[in-house]
Amino acid sequence: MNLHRIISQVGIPEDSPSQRPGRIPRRGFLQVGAMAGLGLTLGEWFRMQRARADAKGYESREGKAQSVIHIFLPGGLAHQESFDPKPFAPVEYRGPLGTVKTRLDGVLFSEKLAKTALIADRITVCRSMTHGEAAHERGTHNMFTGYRPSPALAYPSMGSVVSHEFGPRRSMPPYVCIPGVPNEYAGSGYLSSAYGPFAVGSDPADGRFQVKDLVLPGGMSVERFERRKSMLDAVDAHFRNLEKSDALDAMDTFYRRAYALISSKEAREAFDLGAEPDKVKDAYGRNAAGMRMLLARRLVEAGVRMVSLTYGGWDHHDNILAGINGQLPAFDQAFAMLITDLDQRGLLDSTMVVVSSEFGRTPKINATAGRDHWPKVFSVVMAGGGIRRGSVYGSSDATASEPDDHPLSVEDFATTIYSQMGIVADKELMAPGGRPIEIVDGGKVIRELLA
Amino acid sequence: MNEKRPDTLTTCLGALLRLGWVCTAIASGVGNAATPALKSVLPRLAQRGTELEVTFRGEHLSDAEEILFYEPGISLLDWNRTTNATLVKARLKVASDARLGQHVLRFRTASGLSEARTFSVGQYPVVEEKEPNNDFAAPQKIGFNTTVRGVAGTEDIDYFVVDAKKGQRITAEVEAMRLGGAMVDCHVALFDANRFELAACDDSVLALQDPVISILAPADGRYVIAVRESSFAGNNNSHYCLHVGGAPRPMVAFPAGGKAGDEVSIRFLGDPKGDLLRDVRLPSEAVGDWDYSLVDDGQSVPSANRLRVTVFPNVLESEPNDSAAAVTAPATSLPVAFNGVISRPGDVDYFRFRGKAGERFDIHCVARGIRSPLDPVLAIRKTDGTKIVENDDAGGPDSVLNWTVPFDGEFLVSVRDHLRGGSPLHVYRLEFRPVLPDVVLSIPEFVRNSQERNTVTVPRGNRSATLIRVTRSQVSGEVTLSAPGLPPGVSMACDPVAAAVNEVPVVFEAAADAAASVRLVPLSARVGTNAAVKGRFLQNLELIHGEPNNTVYYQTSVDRMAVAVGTEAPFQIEVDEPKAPLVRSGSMDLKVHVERRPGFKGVIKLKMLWNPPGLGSQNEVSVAEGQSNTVYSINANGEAATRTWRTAVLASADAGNGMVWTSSRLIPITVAEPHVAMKIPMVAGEQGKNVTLIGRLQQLRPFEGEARVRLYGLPPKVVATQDEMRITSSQQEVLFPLTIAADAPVGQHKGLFCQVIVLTKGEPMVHSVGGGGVLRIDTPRPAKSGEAPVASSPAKTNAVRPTASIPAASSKPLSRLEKLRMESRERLSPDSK
Repeated sequence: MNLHRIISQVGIPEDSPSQRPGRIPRRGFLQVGAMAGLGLTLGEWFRMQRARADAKGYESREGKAQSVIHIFLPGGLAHQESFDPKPFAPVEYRGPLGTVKTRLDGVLFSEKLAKTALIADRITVCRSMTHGEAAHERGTHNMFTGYRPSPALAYPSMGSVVSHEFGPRRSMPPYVCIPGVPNEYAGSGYLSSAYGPFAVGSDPADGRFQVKDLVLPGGMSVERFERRKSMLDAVDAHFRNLEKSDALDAMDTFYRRAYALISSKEAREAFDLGAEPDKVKDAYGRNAAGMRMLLARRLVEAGVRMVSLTYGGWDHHDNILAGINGQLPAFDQAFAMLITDLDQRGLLDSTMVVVSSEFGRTPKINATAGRDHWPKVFSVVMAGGGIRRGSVYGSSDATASEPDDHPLSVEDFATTIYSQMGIVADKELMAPGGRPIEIVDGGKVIRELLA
Repeated sequence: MNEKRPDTLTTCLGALLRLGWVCTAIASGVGNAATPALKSVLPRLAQRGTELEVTFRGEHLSDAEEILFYEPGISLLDWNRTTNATLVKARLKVASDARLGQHVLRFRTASGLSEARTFSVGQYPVVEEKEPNNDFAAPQKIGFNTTVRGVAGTEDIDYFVVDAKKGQRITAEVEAMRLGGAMVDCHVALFDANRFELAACDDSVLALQDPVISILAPADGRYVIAVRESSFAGNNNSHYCLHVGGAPRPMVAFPAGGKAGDEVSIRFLGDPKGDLLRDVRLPSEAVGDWDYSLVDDGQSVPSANRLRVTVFPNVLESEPNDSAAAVTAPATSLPVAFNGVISRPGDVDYFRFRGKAGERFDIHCVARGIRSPLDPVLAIRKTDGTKIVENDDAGGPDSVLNWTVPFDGEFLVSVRDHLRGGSPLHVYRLEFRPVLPDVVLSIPEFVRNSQERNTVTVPRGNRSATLIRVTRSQVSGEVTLSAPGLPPGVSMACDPVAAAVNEVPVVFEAAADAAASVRLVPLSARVGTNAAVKGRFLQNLELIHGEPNNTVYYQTSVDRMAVAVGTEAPFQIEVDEPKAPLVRSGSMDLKVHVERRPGFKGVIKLKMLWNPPGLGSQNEVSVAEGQSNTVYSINANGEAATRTWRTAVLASADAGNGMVWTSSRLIPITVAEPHVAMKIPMVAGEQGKNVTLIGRLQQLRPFEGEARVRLYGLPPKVVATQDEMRITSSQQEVLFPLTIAADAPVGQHKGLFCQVIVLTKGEPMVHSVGGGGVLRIDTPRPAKSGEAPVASSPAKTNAVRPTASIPAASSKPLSRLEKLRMESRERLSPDSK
């Protein structure tokens, strides 16, 4: 039973934002962040302490990667125009862009990744990622959950599993999405929705960026908030008199923790990009890519375990040259700066940064000067958190059509990330109906990816 | 409800479109080259026999010279220009005998043709919607028999009130999607004065997303019509036209068509006054879909009903025919169109026919195609009712079977509704179409979901090119195109379309003195020597796209290609005819020259119009500002047919007022067998050592002199001591000595290949050979006792063992297998123990 229902039942008039201008919307009252788009309240989110029911059990212990920043490029980034160019391929495969030498001997990136090329000695590029799902939503599902989509079960995202396994750290939500929950597979799946992501809710690149639910709504004073909280206490006390229940006690605890987060100075500061010097903002780039990655760094610094951010739209069926030219340079600058910044702060060894996409794009340029969906082979990038510095794992063939060696499966990819975080991916979590389901089914840790 | 039916509304304007009609007005052409874009036409409807001012919005419209209509009925009286190139006003006259319904138009400016848009002609006087009319109690008063031009905005409900007498027919039909302007899904409802809803409609079988209602007034009084966007989500661009009056509104016809030229007695069903019987004279040509506008009590239907005109006659169902046993009518000879109604839920109709073994038919059960609510399921049966073949949805919801009569004799065909529904309106027309050869010509979509470049504008004294898609059905072979009636001074160059190919580049050239003009060209085709196949041009025009995935919601079509002569372009391109052929698995650079008109320096983009089968090319090449020469790379795969094709290179540039497109002439490209092939056996070497890579040559065709060979794809820290070799036509192998640095990456390095360049008539023939070569780099073996350790740095390697392991060029290098054998012998020899 959530707060909303309690209030309804005891007859306290509900605030209706559309009818009573100036009043605080009900959702704004206690909701911290747009939880997974489900209208969750922080209280529900804190239930994570109770909802554990594991079968094949391995205890999760914090691993080398204490945090993960997952940079997801929706739409399907062309591997040929980014991390796996094929300068010797026939012209219709090669694509319109040139290449740039990287810090790694003989390894070339697209010319639009010139800054990333300079930090290539700190990252691992996997050029042999492969799965068979050429539809956007299915590819997205793979990369967020480590599973092929199933009509029978909604799998939890990696962030939700991390949230389930470790819970919060230093009052920070364990799993945060920037700017919003990117897709339906970034949620908690069969796990309790309490493990869903905390969505920042607006774009950090927006000049007026503010995480609205971490500050009291406009016009509300601390006193008024306290008054409302005491009103809720009165309601709760009324219930406690009526009924003795563990669930009520637990919910009380959840709300107390929610209030703690709202009033936590550290939490507010972590979300405050204004605290960053202009020089740093400029270095990241004052755009969606730069500000989202900068916020991600602040959040992991403050204790968030998994930050999932999206940038751009990479579904370049038409005119891939314009699409790449318009978006990749900002990514390049921000990503190179993120790695450099984390490294300089000594955080790179404990923070894994992953760049992934739904799939790659067709080997040949199509009739409208774009490339279409191609899941057979594409590139992902991993760095930090115990990932080998300066290497290329796997390769695609001469026309970037198939993995040539060391094909990297979705399961292995996810298992390696989990392993670095200290989670044994073979562990079973309990799905509804008492079904124990492995976090990842059949993946193995790819040792060659590790330092 | 937002019902989505993407492809069923292709409107064939039929024979009327074949007439062609161009309205011309004298204009003060600005004269700078451009590609005009026509985005919106407002208003989109007028009453016939009236004049009105229409506002056209788009880009580069200031030098508009003509409005090109595809059929007569609407003419341009005068321009009302502004200085704004995105907005032009024009006064149009709609003739009193103009065909009711949709008319297709384009703009011709001095320099180009716009995309096609539509304009509707109605029968009623037109009034504008006047806000506020959002209150049921205060509706906008309109006359009976009126068309209202309105906008269904966000959360907007427009109320209109009319007076009607008891028993009078009130028809309210909305044209919104069918105006072809924007995604507007309207809902219409009819209330009596006490706000009791008498009829309501969101989508209709007859008009798809547009709503249609028609009732008889139950009493004298006021009737209120409410129009809104079906989910209240309209915007300022959600234009609609509401026709309110006493017009007849039958929903479907039975029989829905007949034999060309016949007078057919047709019953129009679904009108509130009951069935309307008309003798309809069908067109003399079997045009297929044909729209018929019924007139009753002096009023035409607000929109036409769809009929079919075919070469074969009708057979009407005669009940009882609900089972195989019940069919008593004698067997019919084919071809024929059976016509029936699935008149009640669960009804099945059977027909008996006679077939000859081997006769082939395309059997179409047309129901949605004639706007019937039936979702037919079609089955061919033996006379005892045993099913031979069945189809449900091969033609969208309609059924299609391609069937060959298996034996001489009688058969049954049955029709039912997929969900066993039925009603007096569930009409179908079951056509046994003889399989006839056909060739349809069209311009493929160059830009996704766009009409861009589906016309041809030839700059005066220059060339322009397009691609024609050739869709053959029931015929194969070489197709020859012809284009009668091109604008004066314009010629067309086009090769015959090879049997295995379905697209062909066509280059148009306009004389230097060709006058600005436009023609609608009925492009036609001949297949081999088969005079029976004429070929026809049919261009779909997608007008409204929507979710999901840019689904086409509304489209129309035209049957002629628009070709215009435009103002001079500021540049012209020529491509040198290659003297040497392009070899299979090889590449070639086409030399492109640009001639710029004085003062034009801009970037010119080049694009191959068409890649022949097996050939690939760069997607786009730019000629930089002020430059006039460049090369355009093309290549052939290993399977490309060895023959000569002709294609063209397009050139485009922004000449200051939009894009201008020109073309090269057709350039012949000959694909030939390669002179030489190569295999690179695996080569292995240790870090810090030197090895020799062997390319084993296979001489396929002799060549003169020497060819150059270059090695590509070496891993880092491995260098070829000589990066280019020379070979002759008799040589069997080529050797590349390689130096592997001590820190070269260990592992298998794939992707080695060679380029062999043979000079023919002074031009290079570039061969890509030896693909798949592998170089394996191993870590050094541990040193044997007493042997000096292997050098760990390249410098040392070179110092200690200069080039000892590189075999002399004259000595035969060892293959990988030979090396392994030698190493094995060394290990097993007594000395090594």
